[in-house]
Amino acid sequence: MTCHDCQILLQQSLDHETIADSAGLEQHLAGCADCRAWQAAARQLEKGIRHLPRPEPTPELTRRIVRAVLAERRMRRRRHVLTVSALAASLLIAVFLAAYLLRPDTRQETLAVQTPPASQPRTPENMETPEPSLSLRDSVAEVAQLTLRKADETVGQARSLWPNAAPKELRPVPSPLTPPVDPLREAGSSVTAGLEPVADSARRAFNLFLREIPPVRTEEKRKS
Amino acid sequence: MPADDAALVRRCLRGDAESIETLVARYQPEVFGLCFRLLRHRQDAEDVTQEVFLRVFRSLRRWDASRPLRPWVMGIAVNRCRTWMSQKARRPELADYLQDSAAAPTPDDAVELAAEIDSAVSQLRPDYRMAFILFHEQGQPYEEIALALERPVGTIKTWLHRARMEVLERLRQRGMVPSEDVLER
Repeated sequence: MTCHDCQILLQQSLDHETIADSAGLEQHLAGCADCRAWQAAARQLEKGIRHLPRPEPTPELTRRIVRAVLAERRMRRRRHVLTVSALAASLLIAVFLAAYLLRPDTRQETLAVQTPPASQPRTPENMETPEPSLSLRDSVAEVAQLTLRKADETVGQARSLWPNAAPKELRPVPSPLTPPVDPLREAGSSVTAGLEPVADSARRAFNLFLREIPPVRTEEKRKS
Repeated sequence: MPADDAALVRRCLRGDAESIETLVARYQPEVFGLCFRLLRHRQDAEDVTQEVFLRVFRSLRRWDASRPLRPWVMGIAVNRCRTWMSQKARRPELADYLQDSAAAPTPDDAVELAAEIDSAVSQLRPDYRMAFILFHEQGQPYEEIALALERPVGTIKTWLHRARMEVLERLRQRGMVPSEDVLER
């Protein structure tokens, strides 16, 4: 038996396995001080482990843990209920919205209810049974006609009320009104008058500059 | 594995407070023991033990009833301890003079030996230390340790053998091996 074999057997004994070749081990140990030291240390290790203090938690740890676990469960359940409720509400809203928007004739019906056909007079009967299809141009024309009719009605009502209130309170408007463009003309002429000295000086300076420039001799240039 | 673990888990999932307490009481000593040995601080160990059980009950539905419950619980404990230790390594160490140590100093040889082993184990690298504690202090078989540490049984055996050799070496160096056992026969 070698020292390596002895080490394996040492590990086996610490694993609480039975040593098959105990006679061979004894024989090796008798002649090997190093392996004897390892064996003695292993026995010390087993002895020391038995005396290792068992750490005990404080008595209320179990209750503390159980309380924490139950509290967390309650919180999770509450959060779960809230999440499910929110999801259900969102789903319900989405379903209603989709059902409303995806109805095949929603837009046409809406238009038809608001704008009865131009050819027929607008009566309560034909408002209840609108024509299902109208072109956009027809709809616009109908809306315009309806608006005009309402405006006429309003004007008529206003005229019936007018004689009692309006003529006494209204002041006479001065006639003719001053044309709004006159002040602009005046402002334009004032600006021209203000800038005149500056413009004259600039014109004079430019003329002087022109006089100083020598005349260009085009013939000489052609020759060279 | 206790035979009624699956039934106990089912009752816990139904929200039975008494079953929750039973499950905590069943595994708390091992979880706390591991946490205390790894973290070497009572308050930290209790806090991590609480975290472990919160996580256990949070993910209890995911436990495979065909497998033993203890390694699954211990696996969560191992992971929480690893996280705690890595966090602690990043923040400054606060001296806690009031914490009680694992062993009170007494003249008894056995207690001195135990303290020496405890000190040697605390200096092992974390993987070796976990394997050592789970095997030697908690008496768990290799298969369950492998499940808890999520490593093959062969790796666990290697870790444990190396851990033992380091501890034995330390005992020899510190003169904890009686000379009459070593002397020539």
